[in-house]
Amino acid sequence: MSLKRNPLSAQIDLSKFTEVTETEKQKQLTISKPSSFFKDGMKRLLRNPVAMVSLVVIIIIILMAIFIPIFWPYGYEEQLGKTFALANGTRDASYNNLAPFEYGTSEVTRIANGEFVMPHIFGTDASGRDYFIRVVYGTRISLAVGLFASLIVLVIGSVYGSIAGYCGGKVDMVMMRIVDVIYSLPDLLLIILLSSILNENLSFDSNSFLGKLGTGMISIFIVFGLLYWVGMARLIRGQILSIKKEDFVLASRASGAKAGWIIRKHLLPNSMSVIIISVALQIPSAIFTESFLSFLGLGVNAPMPSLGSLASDAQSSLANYPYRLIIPAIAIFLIVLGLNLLGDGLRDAFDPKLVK
Amino acid sequence: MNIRFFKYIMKRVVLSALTIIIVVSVTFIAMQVTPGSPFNSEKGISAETLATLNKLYGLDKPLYEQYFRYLLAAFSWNFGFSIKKNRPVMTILLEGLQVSAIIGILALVISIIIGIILGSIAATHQNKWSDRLIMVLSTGSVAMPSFVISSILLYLVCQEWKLLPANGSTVAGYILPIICLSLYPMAYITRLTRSSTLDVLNQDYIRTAKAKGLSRPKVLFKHALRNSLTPVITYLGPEFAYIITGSLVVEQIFGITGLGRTFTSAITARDYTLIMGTTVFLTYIMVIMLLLSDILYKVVNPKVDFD
Repeated sequence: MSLKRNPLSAQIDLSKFTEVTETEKQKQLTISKPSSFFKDGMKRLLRNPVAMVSLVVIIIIILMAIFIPIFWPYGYEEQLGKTFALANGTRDASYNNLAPFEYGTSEVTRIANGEFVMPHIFGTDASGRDYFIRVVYGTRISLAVGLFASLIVLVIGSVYGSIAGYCGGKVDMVMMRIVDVIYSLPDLLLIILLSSILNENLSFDSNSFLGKLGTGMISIFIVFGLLYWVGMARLIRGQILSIKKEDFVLASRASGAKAGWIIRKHLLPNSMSVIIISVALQIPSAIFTESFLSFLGLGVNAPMPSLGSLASDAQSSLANYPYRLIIPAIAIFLIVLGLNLLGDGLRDAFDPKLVK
Repeated sequence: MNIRFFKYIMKRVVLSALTIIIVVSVTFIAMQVTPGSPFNSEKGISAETLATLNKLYGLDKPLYEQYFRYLLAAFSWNFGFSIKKNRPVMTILLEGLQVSAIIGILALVISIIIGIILGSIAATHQNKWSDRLIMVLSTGSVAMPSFVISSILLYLVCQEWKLLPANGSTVAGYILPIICLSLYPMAYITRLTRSSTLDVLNQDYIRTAKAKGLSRPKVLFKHALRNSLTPVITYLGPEFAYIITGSLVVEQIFGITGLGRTFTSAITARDYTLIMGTTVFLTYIMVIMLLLSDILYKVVNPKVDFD
């Protein structure tokens, strides 16, 4: 019958329709919960397998870096040859340069006596220090440096950027010209210059945390605070400029809200996603800078390890102990790759421009 | 090219001069607060000789006068003599630049060519295995510090397989440093080209070009790439900065005496004139490259305003 119909006819073909069932009616009646921008973004993020795997890997690495040193029987600066000294009190050289899962002489006898000895998973280094705990500690330091440097960048950059974006006009122009100038400074040259000066000038109590970390790290923080915030400032300013034009900001201002209130309550929360994404991408760059400085001998103070200093220390013995370079390199690789992929995933999930 | 373009260039030149002044100031302060002088390491130096030396290099003058001398030097391109090497700073820098520039420019060119090729292959084969492979490789190679890649390559190629000489002073010795230096920007350009080409390929004018019956290469080269390469041009300035600083690591590992090594050795020797010369010189290079890449971007992309 339908074959006979004129294909251009506007008459409705009733046979194509069926009656609504009860459950379907019910569905139409219930009002679904309102979805926020954040919830939508989280939903999209959870559906992105690459980002989720990276997130899990990063969480595992962070948990390991925090908790393993608590129960691990060896310390990061503990020279096992001294701890398990020979009967005459001298260092036991058998603990130096152990291969992975090898034991020192006194440990072998302890194992023979039925004692449990924690294996040296990655062996020991030239001074007889357990390499596994050094890598774990190095990860801790590198992550902390990355996080802290990004926080500095975040605070300075977002305050500066939001003031420039909010004020606009002449203030914005002057502030952005300053950003332009800082942007074209040769940053790594200044880091090298600063850390070599600070190495001479600053001295901390060698037992304090800063003293153990060393002046190289402090100069990284200073340089990040002085130079690296400009990218963040540009980003936030652009974001603020576009949000400022929205009607809800106008409404807020019309009802007498002050500048600080508008920045805190409207502008910053709405640029949150951009901020989070760029922090996720900033941490790898700080970790890279740290490893670069360690390579030039301006990184953390020995014996405190960082992934960069472990990798650069291992270079000289690359022919004999290649795994000592490869293990910290893999750790850096996993952290940086994980954060980069997570940052990409966050951008896909939260960037309002991409939301269809 | 009109009056606005000229005004824009003038504005940028003024800003660049400001950058140079800041660099001179920072370096000057840095050198002043660092303990030790260039002549500290010379043992048994008499007070008289020291005074003569200080006088010779103007180190006995009041600070503000020294500062203005450096400032003047920065703008007149006359950095005087190196305190330690007893040769004009400019000669030392130009020697270093020769080496660094060969490696840097070759790395730049290689990374751009291969990066654009890989990026457009990935974009035109989106979600196929070739795209996946290129993306995995480029994402992965951005996540490795360059000194790790360099030292592993150096060890494998030069020591294990003995394919190339480890010494950086011969032509063959330059191959590995160039590869190491170009890896990171290459990966970055690949990703950049891929994403911008994907954007462009979705545009209406590409559909029109395809509908006209143009061949695929013609669509890609004449219509798509021309527009999708503008982000790559904006990256050139930062890439150049990366190559300058990245070459520091590569120079260290492969034993090449370029600008990077000149700088680090000048710092340890407290060679004030050479330190100042290197920072100012590198800042000049950086500022000029940023300006050039900006102008290029605006020439290629007429839609952009000069403000």
